[in-house]
Amino acid sequence: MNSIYLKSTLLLSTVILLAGCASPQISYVDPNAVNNLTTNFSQNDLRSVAQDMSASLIQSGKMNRCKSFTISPVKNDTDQYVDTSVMTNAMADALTNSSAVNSVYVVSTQEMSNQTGELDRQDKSGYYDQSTTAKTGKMRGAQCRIDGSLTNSTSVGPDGKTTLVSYTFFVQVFDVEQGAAVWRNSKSISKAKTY
Amino acid sequence: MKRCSLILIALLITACSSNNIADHTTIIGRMDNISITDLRSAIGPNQLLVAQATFHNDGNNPQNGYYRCQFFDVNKMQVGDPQPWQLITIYPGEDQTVKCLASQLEATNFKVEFSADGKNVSVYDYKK
Repeated sequence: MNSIYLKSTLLLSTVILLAGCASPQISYVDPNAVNNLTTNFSQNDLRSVAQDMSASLIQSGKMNRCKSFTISPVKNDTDQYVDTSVMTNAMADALTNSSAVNSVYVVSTQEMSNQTGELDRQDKSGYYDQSTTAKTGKMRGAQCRIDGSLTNSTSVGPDGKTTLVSYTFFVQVFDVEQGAAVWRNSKSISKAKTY
Repeated sequence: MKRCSLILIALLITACSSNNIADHTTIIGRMDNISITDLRSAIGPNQLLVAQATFHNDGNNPQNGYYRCQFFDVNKMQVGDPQPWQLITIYPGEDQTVKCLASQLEATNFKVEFSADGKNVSVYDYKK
């Protein structure tokens, strides 16, 4: 009887201990924290480079040469999945909200479908009072287009213990009609993993 | 000649004003061998504030630190959102300069936050 009781207690204690060890802790953390968990291009890296680029572009004053602008999708030339829409959105936010930029953001390629869908719904569906609807053919064209790409290269040490991953984010602003570059800049970051 | 010199001096003062370091820095945790040796600000070509901080390492080894800048308006209200912390490596005996660029015309003042100690800044490290 004693032996069965002892065994059961031991088993129960082990289960409780294991369950206790395995349960993860969840908490809110500072979104601006430094993320050294991976050498992949993290969300913090995305925000950080987009913010740096936007600040440089705003400081240059070159955006005010464009009455309106749009942003093309950032080309992901890395070997990783990177949600580059975070970069384009962060740049569009910074430029639109800056009191030093007079240029107006107009719909991008990705937003076009929603925009034309709404225009068609209002102007062509026949459901609306035409005196209150937005009309097709009046959308504002972008004088300038912001284009970007993200590339990476990986180097592994001869002993395989150190991996260095370097990323370069390249941004340029084009005058759409002339095809001339108004502004260009690049920013690099490197991350290392050492065993 | 005198007038030219006066204009030149006035322009220099306007373009590049040195700042009291303590008024514009927040040190979080340890500084170790790092010191902030110079802080200055200027108005850039687009009428926006540019702040520059110079870090110096008095030690014998390269040292990492974390910094970020905050901008404030005339009423000392923060302008823009808090920035992500940035890593900086300062080599022995070397001056390392960082620039912070304001993106709002309202920014008239700035603060540089620095920590040489990752424990006082939220840092998530890879552990095997």
